[in-house]
Formats: sequence, C-alpha cells, structure tokens
Amino acid sequence: MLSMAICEEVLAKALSTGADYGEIFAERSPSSSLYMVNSRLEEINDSVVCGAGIRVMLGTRTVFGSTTDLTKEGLLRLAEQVSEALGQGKTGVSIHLERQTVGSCCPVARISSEVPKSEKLTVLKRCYFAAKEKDARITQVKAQLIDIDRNILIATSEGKYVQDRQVRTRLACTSIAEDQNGTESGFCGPGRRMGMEMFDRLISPEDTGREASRVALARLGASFCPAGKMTVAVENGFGGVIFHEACGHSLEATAVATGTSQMAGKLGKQIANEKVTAIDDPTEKNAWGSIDVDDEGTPTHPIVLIEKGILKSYMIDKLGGRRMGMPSTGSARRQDFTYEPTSRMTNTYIANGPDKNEDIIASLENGLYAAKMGGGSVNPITGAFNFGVDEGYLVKNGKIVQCVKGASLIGTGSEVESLLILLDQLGVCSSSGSVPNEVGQPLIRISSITVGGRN
Amino acid sequence: MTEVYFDKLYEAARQKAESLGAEVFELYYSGGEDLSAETFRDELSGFSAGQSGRLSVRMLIGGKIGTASSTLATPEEAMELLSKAAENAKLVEKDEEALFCEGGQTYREVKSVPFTMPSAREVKETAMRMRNAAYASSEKISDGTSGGAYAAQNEIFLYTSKGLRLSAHSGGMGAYVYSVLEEGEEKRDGFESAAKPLEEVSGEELAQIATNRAAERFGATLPQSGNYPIVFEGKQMQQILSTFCSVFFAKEVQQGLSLLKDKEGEKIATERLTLIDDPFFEGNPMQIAFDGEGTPTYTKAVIENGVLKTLLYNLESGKKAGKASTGNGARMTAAIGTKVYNLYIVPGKNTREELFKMAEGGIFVTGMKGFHAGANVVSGDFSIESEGFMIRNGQKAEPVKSFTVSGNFFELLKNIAAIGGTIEDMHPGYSKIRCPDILIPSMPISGA
Repeated sequence: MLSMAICEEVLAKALSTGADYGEIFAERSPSSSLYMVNSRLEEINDSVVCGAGIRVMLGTRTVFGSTTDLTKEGLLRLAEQVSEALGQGKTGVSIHLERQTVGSCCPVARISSEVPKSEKLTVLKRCYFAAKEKDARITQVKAQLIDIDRNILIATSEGKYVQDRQVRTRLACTSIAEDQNGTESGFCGPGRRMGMEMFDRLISPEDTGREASRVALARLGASFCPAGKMTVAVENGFGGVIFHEACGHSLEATAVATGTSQMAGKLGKQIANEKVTAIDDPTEKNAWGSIDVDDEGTPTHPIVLIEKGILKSYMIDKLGGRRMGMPSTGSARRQDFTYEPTSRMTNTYIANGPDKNEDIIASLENGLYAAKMGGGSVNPITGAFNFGVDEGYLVKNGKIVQCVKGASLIGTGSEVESLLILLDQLGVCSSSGSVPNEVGQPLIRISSITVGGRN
Repeated sequence: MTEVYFDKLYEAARQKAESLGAEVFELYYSGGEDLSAETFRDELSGFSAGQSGRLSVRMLIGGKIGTASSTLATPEEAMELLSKAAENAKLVEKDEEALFCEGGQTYREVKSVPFTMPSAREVKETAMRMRNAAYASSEKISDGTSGGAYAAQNEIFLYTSKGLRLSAHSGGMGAYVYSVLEEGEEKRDGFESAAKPLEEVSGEELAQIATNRAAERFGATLPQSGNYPIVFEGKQMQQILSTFCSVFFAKEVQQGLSLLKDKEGEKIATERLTLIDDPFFEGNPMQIAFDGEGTPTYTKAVIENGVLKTLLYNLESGKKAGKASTGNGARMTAAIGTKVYNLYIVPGKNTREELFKMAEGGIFVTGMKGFHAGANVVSGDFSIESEGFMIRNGQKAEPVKSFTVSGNFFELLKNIAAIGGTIEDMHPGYSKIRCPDILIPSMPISGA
C-alpha cells in the first residue's frame, strides 16, 4: 500500500517539531453488500474505504489528521500539518522501520471479496426463503450478506511496519410476522472473521433465516412484560452483552485513564462475585472480533480482566497507557482511517461457572428468563446502563410460563459493581450458536435487577 | 474537489459508462474537511484535521441499476467503480423501471451565508476557552470535564446524463462544554453546545447550563413503579421522534415495515399535532434545494392537525404509489434511501410551567438512553431507561433516575395532551429533528 521508504520520510516529517511518537495508519478496504427484500435481490453495494491517518503525540497531547490523498506529496502535506499543529521549531529525526509479521488466528479459505457475487446470492437466497417459508404469518423478510476485506498498514516512529488483512463476512436476516394481534420483528445475524467457507459447515443460511422468523413469531403471541425489580436469568451467547455494557466499557482505558470510570483505581480489588471470571480474547479462532494485531500495530493476546471476582487488568491503547502509566494491552481499535484509535473490547466473555443451567431456571420463583438480548449502552461516568430483551419469558416457580415483549433491563452507578456481585449463578456455555461471538457468557442469574415493561 | 476537477472527472466517466452500455449515468460526490479540538484536565489533549469524501456512480443498464462507491475520487478509481456498477446491474433482480430525475427542473435559491473555515488556531483557542469556563463554573468540577470546538464544510456535486448539473456547499462550526461534577461518591455529567461563529460562543453560558444540568441531578432516587403523567423535555421527544421517524418513509410502508399503510389522509394523531419537514428551516446551515436524486426539495406538512397528509417519497417509492417524489431521496453510499431535512413538531401555546401544572404528581423526563435496544420501530413499542424530576406543586421537584418509560409511538401521537411553546435543539444548528416539550397524561414507568 505504502512503501517503507515513503513511511519513513512521512514519519520523519511528522515528528519534525518535537513529537515523541508518530504513526501512520493506511487502509484500502473494499466491502460489498447484497440486499434482498420482496423475494428478490434489490440492491448490490460495492464500496471502498481508502485513505490514511497520521497521529503524533507529545506526552499525552495528540494531533491527528486524515486524508484520501495517498500520494507521497499528499502524505507529506498532512505530516506537515499535524507537526505544525503540535509544536514549533525543528528537530532532525530519522526513522528506521522494520517489517513485522503478524499471527494468523483467522485463517480464511475463500476471501469473500474474491468470490463471484452469484455464489453470494445463492447463500442469501437460501437464508431469505427459509425465513419466508417458515410460517404463513411471516409477511416480510429483509436479508443481507455483507463482506469486508480490510487491508491495513501501520507504521510507527518506534520502528514498526505492520500489514494485516482482516476478512469479515456476515449474514443478517430480519423477519416480520403479522397476525390479528399486531406486527412484530425478529433478527438473526451471524458473522465471523472468515470468508465464504463460513457457510460450508459452520453457519447454515437456512437456520439463520428460520431463527429470525422464529423470534418474530414468538413475540407475536407475547404479552407485555410486567415492570419492577425481579430475578433474571440471561441465556448464553449474545447475552454477554450485559457484561459488555455494564462492565466491559468501564474497563477500557478511554474511560479509566480519564478517571471517569467506576472501575478506576480498583485493580486487585474484589469487584464481582467470586464465580465471575471475565476474559477479552482477540485470538479466538475466526471469531467476529478477533485480530492478530491492533490498530496501533501492537500484537494481541488474551487478557484476563476479572479472575474469581478480582479486577486483574484493563484494556489499554497507547494514549490510555501513557495517561495511566501502563503498557498497551493491544486493545487499540478504530472504525477507519478517519478515526483516532480508542481502547475497545474484542471478544469478551464470562467464563463458565459451576452451576447447572436447569438449576438456574428452576431457582427462579418469579422472574424473567432472557433467551435473547438485543443491544445496550452505558454511561461510564454514572455507570447507568440499559439492555433490550429481544425474546423474554416469565418464569413462575421454576417453570417457563409465557413469552413476553417490551422488556428491558436497567441499572445505574454503583450498581455496576453490585450487578457483578449479584451475578450469582453461572451455568455452562454450550456453544456460541449462530450468533456473532463478540460477546459470550454461560447462562447467568442476576438476583435482582430493574425490569422495564408495562404493568 | 473543485468544479473544474469534477467536470473533467464526469466527462471521462461518462464516456466509459457509454462504452459499457449505460442508458443513464450519474456521478455523485459528497465530501469536505473538518477541524476539531478537545481538552483533558488543563491541556489541549487532542486536535484533528480531516479531509474525506465519497464518490458514487449509479447507472442504468438493461433497465436495471448498478451502483458502486469509494472514498477515493481519482479518475482511476472512478473507472473501477464503473466496471463494478455494470457487473452489479446484471445481477440485480428489481424489475420496475428504474428512475432518474429529469433535467430542466426549477430549484429554489438557498439563502446561504458565505462560509469560511476558521483557522486551526481559532478552533484550538476556542476549545481551551470552553474548558476554562467549565472549570470555573463549580467547585465540584472533576476530571472528565472538557471543552471542545469544531468546524466542518461539505460540498456536493450531482451530474447526470439527463442533464442535471447540481452543486451545493455548506459549512458550520460551534463549540461545547461537557461538565463532570463530583459530590462524595456520586458523579453527574451535563452537556451543552452552540453552533455559531466561534468568537460568538460564550463559554460561560454553555458552562453554566452544562454544569447546572449535572448539579441538579445529585441525590436522585428510584421512583415507585406505576402510571404517571409525563412531560417529555423537547430534547427527549426529539430522541423519540428520531427513533421512529422512518415510519413516515413510503419505502418502509411499501415493504411492510411501518404500520402507516393506507393511512394517508387519515387521522393518526391528536389534532393538536402538526409535523413539518422543512429543507429551508431558518438558521440551519445545511439548507439544500435538491435531494439525493436531484429532485427539488420543498417544505411540507407530514401531519397536519392530526391527519397524515403525506408520507415521504423518493422517485422509486413515489412511482410505486403513483405519486411524485416529495424530494426526500437520500444518498446512502451509492444507493437511494429516504431522509428528513428538518422535521419538527409545531410548537403549541403552553409554557413549561403550564405543562407542569397539568402534570401534577407526574415526572418531567430530561434524559433517555438506549433507544437502539429498547425500541421496536416496526411495532412502535419502546421501553427506555430514563431520568428526570418529580413534578410537585406545579414545579420541578426532586430528581429521579433509573426508571424505564414504556409506551407505543403510535399511541403516543394520539395521546399528546399539550405541546410546549418552544422548540429545543439537541445539537443546535445541526439536528434534523426538533421538538417542544410534550405532555402525555398517563404512561407506565418501571422503578422501585
């Protein structure tokens, strides 16, 4: 993409006014999406993201610039702009880069961007029609096959010259079900860091479509979830979004380094029930969030965040590390070349616990079983968090009695910690199923949390 | 991107498109530059200067449309996009006659103020000025507090072989204060921004509002679950309307994804409610006379006195319904969707104090979060994490937090009992949706 010699010259220019660190992030990332609705291929979108970002640092001050002009002149102009914005004066700098190899936690057999679109269309149609034909009450289906071929290059004033190719493929299906009671939707969207071989054995396009329709149909017959504090069991897989939102974001350096996270200053302290061990593992084979090298060129490795309830580590990028006086953990991520890196989770999950799944459900006298979670969000300052429940069931005396809709789980502030304390039973994670594996957990029980619904 | 450069790019691309057999060809570019600065503790921690854009091609071959786009706007990249678009057109199965805007349209003149980007230095100095005002605004100010400033300009070119030669230029700038306050173990945050020339932004004004927003929420408790009169602050009603505004898109209705099928001309809301979409909303720096397909834009009532006057159409959804485009075509990456310009609820006559009097014993909702997870756009149901204040003796009383407000968007439109007299902006100048305060006589909340 950019030769080593050009990168050396551009970095030297970027550091010429006294920066103590500089980096170039360049990418050329073609992506394509095929979109089906009304039983036909409605749209194909080919898109390319191509450009470079240059960042310089002096202590904890940063200047960042980005451009789509990848000529040597264009990059030198940008380097001059960022160096001038950082400081004045002239320092002679010489940069010597060395090529670094990266691991291969995500082998790819058939890169999606190189596979004929007709083959992708076949996969998409298998998903679409399986969803459509599941039940006469399925009135509409939207299905999309997306692939991205992210080619990145990172060169830093510390001498790194790293290239990586990150291939991701995702099938996403939304089904709409309708009867005399109303209209509901269901979603299923498995994705992997793989090519089209993902659909050979691992992910069934038909099962993906049927699952989206199953959720829509289940919700169709559901009544509104009652509101109030209750005991909740959250199913494995994407249920890990609870940890991701309620705790994970608060362990990212971006929040910790500014002293605004509830988790700042708590390393080595008991912050969760002793049954809780939480791990961020960027090296999991072919998982959606996996990366061999982060967006600052640092090699990745699994990070134990919480071990038996004790806070062991944060997720740290370069700037966060400087602010915290700690080394990077290889947790720097950016959406594309127009963004500065930030610290982010990769594949985060709670490790399996000692409890049996059936015992956890049976232990609920009057509670909610969240079979499928939607998304959620958190404010790290106050710790206020919320999660949507896509598919929920009321449990009475240990028995699942009724599907409910419109439920959400919320909590705040110091409850982030108490929530982790209250994660009091952990079952066994059978598999990640057909959902993206960026979050994961065994079946968990939270002894008391506010459930939003309608009385 | 200069006009001369785009002219040349278009001409080269048009010739190649013709050689590929394009019956209609379109080249679109949207891009620009931005500057931003922010502070951390007592220093300017970050400064960023970006230049980005997207070049899109769309062409009609054999009665079908192929598209492709890239952030690179070089002649070589344009040629590659044309080849991809031609290949895509062969696969697409959409069989209706594909639509492009005809040339020779009349466009309203946009009253634009000439825009010049501020210097990097001005942006940096403004950010520090906001930071200093924030730190001076309270003794409880703590780490995490920051000031910031930004400026951006954007240009659009849309040329087609049907004779369209459209271009537009827009720009804006502003500054913000983010206050974090600490009291014992508790932390609260507040945000306020202003979009105007940087030298006109008062740091003290922004800091006072942001800091007050944080300060007045200390000691918040969980309210009891039950049904309450609810006053949604304009900014919260704006979040609700933003979440559900796609229900007014004809494309969503035609695909069975909106419950407003066959409702045009019918009463769907209280007669108090009038909802307008105005591409020329005064004070908005992004006014534009043509949409993503080149159709002239105009001001329209979506709901008038409770009656759904029109859905929002682009050329394709309009043709399907036997109607003209309402000028709401949106350029996604290369494909066409639907968008709103400035969608706003026409203010009523009541002051906030009057709304409080009508909502005695209720809750004034001033914060809502998590719409992407807690709202179902198809059914209209929502259950959202909220915070706010109890309303007692006609006034804002003690703060409450961590409760959910549950309801249904379509029912909410019918149940609005009063509308406040002032429109609030979420991000002044830039927000596409604007709302006054709204009173709903009874909604279920889930708390203690």
